[in-house]
Amino acid sequence: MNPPRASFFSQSWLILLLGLLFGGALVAVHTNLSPVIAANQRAETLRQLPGLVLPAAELAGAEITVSGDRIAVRRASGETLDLAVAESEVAGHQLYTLAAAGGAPLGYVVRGIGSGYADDIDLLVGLSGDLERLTGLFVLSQKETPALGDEITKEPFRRWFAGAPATAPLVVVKSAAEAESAPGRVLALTAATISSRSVCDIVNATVAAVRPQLAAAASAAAPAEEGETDGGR
Amino acid sequence: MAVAELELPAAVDDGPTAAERFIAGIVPENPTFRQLLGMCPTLAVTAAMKPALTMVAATAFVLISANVMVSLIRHLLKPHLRILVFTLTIATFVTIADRLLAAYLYPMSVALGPYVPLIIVNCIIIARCEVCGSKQGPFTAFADAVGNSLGFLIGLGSVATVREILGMGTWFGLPVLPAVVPRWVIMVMPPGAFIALALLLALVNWYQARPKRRAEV
Amino acid sequence: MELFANLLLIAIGAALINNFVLSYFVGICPFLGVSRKLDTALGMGLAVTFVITVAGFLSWTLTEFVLRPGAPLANAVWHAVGGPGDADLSVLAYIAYIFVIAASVQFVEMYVKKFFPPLYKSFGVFLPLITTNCAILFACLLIMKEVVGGNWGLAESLTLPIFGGLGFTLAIVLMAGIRVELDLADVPRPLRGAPIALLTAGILALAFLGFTGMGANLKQALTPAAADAPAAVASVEVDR
Repeated sequence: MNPPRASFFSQSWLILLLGLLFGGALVAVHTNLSPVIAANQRAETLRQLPGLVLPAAELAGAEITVSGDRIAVRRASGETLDLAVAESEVAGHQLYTLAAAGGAPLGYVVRGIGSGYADDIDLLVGLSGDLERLTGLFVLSQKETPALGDEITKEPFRRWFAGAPATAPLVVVKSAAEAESAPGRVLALTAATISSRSVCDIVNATVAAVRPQLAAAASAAAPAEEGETDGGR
Repeated sequence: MAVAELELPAAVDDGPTAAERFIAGIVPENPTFRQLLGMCPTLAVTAAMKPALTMVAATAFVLISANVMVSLIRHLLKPHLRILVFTLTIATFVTIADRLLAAYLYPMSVALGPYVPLIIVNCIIIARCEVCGSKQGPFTAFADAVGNSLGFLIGLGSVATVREILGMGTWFGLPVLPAVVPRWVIMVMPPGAFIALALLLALVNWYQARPKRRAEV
Repeated sequence: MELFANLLLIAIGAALINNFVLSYFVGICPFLGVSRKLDTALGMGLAVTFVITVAGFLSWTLTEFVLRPGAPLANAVWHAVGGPGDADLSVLAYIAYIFVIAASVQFVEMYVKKFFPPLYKSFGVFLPLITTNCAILFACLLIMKEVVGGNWGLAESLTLPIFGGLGFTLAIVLMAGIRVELDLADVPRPLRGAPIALLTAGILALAFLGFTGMGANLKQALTPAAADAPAAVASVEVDR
């Protein structure tokens, strides 16, 4: 056998060469694809924003395209609504402010994270421009029980959040009659009470943390611009 | 000189032909049902057809690329370092596949999560590199990889079909079971994966044993 | 106190709630292959725990100091050659991890061969095969995700592999105990071997599903009530 030191290079030259070649290939792949991947991650969230702020009727059959900080909503009628998105952070929560180009905020979307039944639930909640109402809910990620807890991502549960008042915490109730009787009530999912309560807890905590700060910021801006109306609907 | 002394024996070019390798990988030596390799993805991503097929595509990409690449350099491999070379090659192609998925099929990339990088330790790929890629020519290696990929497709596809239809009543997201049939939700959760695979394996075993049973009778 | 609560949650999460084998499906090959006898099962479980901890520590070190975007060592070299912005070597992560794992297995192999020769003999070929054990790479990937996201430090990154490995050991020992009994039972011919083992694993997984929800409750019990969270008055009793 050859003395180990002498043959180290002759033994491993292939691995070193392959390492260099593959490393170079990977760096090339990374340089080309990482901007695309980062844009994908951002676009996923941004694509949900119009649905959380604008009424569902306006968005029926609409096509949403995201490019950079602008979202274009092309309605079925053919006209396009151009929205600008500003990202910031409020009270530890990620905040997206949507405004029609050059106008006052149409609405806000806040991200909240908290514990669900199985694992954390990550969601987006929409606030109207006048901060009086919630305008929608979208669950970004959850690991609740399939067919039971994961109904929180589906429409029948989400509709309780569109139009609910943002001034008082939401309450989870068990009967449909109770839920319809007053605003601000959420009908618990069958056999998924804990998941339903978790979502409401997260929404309540997020709104309670964010709303005072947004209101303060809005009233600080308001005296400076007399007569500006906000985009509340 | 040292290189020549430690050369592998001449590549077994008179081993099974490309066609034989191809056919063997699909049913007789099916990776899932006969070789019992690649269990992790078979159980993890088969809750629905779409993630299962995306995983098959990613694995096929890595298997074919790695097998062909290893075959091209098979005469340069040192016996005791060959596993390292296989691993390096496979890890590179898996990284490429992972990035391509994240760039062009982002929702699928999120759905598959950590199971795409786990293709690196998927025994199927190392086994094929060892058995075929390091010993036979590129075309045979290619045929072997394609055959095994098709076998893997059959394996994952069958488990995913059972789990998705029984668990959620859909196939590829399209409803196939009438609403009156209750959904057996456990099928899309971990226990269901084990049970579905176990019963399918038992079915394959039973089918394979039929001629022997007839002979006994 | 908060760190301890966090570590406890990670530990119980990795060992019970999201057991590596029964919930994440990693480490199935040794789980099915080495679970026929109790002592080899226990030995394999502890060997995997050891390897996974060593590999986890090494991959934390590598990720923290070299691989993640803005890592100190990579940045030092990158800025020295005048590169703009932060160095980001995360694309080499998978290759780095698999080599770290291969090195860890080599290291553990040498250690076991030197200090526990009979154990080394009884493991045979299974010890080097730990390299292809999905569980180890999976733990490294989890650590990478949390370290790059800035959530975990060294303590958390060590807790996960140790307790993940212990959870794997628990599952494999339970499985071995059952299979020893199964050997005496009359199993139908098509089910013999892998199918009955998988069915048993399915029932075990079903049992472990009972730990779901423990995480959320533990978290609530361990973290002091947030000062400004309004009481979400649920006029409903828990009936799950």
